[in-house]
Amino acid sequence: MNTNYVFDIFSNFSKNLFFFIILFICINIESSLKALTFFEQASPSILSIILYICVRKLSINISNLMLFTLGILYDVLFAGNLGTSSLFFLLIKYMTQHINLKHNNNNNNNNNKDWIYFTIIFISSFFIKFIFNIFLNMKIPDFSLHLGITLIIFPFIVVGIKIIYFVTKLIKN
Amino acid sequence: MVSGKPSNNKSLKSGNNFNIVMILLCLFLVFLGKFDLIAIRSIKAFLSDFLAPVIFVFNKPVNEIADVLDRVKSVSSLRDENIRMKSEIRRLKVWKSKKENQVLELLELKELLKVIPENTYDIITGRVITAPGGIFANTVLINVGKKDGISVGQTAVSSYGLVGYVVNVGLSTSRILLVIDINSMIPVYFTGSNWPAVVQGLNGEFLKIKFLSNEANLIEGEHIQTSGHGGMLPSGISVGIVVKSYSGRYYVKPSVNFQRLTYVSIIKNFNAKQDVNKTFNSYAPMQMPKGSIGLKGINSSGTRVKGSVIVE
Repeated sequence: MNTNYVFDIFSNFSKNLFFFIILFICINIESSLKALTFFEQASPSILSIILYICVRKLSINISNLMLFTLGILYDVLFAGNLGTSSLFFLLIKYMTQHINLKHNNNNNNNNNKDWIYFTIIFISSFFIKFIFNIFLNMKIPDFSLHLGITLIIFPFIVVGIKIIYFVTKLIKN
Repeated sequence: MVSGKPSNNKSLKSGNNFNIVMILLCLFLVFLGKFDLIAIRSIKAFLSDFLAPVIFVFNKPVNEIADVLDRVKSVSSLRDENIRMKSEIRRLKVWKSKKENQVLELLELKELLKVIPENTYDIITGRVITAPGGIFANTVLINVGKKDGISVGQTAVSSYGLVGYVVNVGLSTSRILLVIDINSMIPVYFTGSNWPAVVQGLNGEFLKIKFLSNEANLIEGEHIQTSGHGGMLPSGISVGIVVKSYSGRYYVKPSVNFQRLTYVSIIKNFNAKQDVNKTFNSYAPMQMPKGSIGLKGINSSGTRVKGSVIVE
């Protein structure tokens, strides 16, 4: 009984550590994307897309503490207001878990609904973060490009993950 | 892949309270951060120091890809670039011959005016670790810090002009607030007309011109330099050029390309008092009523003019 409990703790810890590293890499990729000409004006929020996919599509329950820590690191990296990104990530996770509409089994329809879900979740979480930042800075930055580019890039990342999943399955078989 | 299936419901219910606690903790941090406590600054600086090597490693591949893309782009426009460069060389040769005469004239005038020689600034150069990003803040992290003599408020420049100023310092890294950041406001003057103004970042490509007199006539392509007003920044550093938008409004295009920043120099020994007494004098005659200096925007008695009309 005790051994199982310890094993569970270690297993959860290693899983969380693995996801933490993956998500931290995503933050770094996101920060470096601005060097590319295509993302010069605004870079997409890769981490929110990955979070959405992890929670909704892969049914991974990402630890809140991990999201909080990642948010702090994100704020340090982008010199944002401490705590706003943690709040944003927690809201994305919370909304992804709770917002649920009726589904059809049609695959194309599912893809469209995923995009709509993500749009609703991302925009509402971002709006809350945005309001906090307006109150803290007393200035309104232009955010339309950031929102647009994230929503455009979302289907590409989903397709990319699906290809990786398909190849992995193929190799296993 | 499971589509549209929420995660484990049991763990969701048990984690709900924890979720609320975490959100409250975030809100607490947000308001704590607003007080700008030294402890928070130190934690941020420590984390920046700690993460700097990791960020550098992860940014390297993307930077390399960006470099390769740039090279491919430049190869495709090599012929046009060559023609442009040749005409530029011809123009610079003419400019150089004019400049040599002007330098001699300037030295003679300085001698006559008994101008105290300009201070030479002590600078330190660091490599940029992060690309400027984020919609709420535009900053870069560089790999020089407190141990190299960097402190908050020092000016950051590149070979093209003003980059920004230091806002946070760690032991081996510093964070620079770029001039394009929405929180950055730089006192400047227009080199053509000498009108002072303030430029503010918009978190985008251009800078907004604020506090400019209604009497000022802006010219597209006019250069803008730091005025040194307020004593925070040295005067005479290039900020950018005036550009006109489609709507007819004037903006400033920064001299520095922030996406291609690789090295940044920090001016370490700038002292506002010293600058006012010594360095600023080198610019002062331009704004003083000197009959011998005919400046655009100022007549022989030192009064500002708007076109041909004298402004009292």
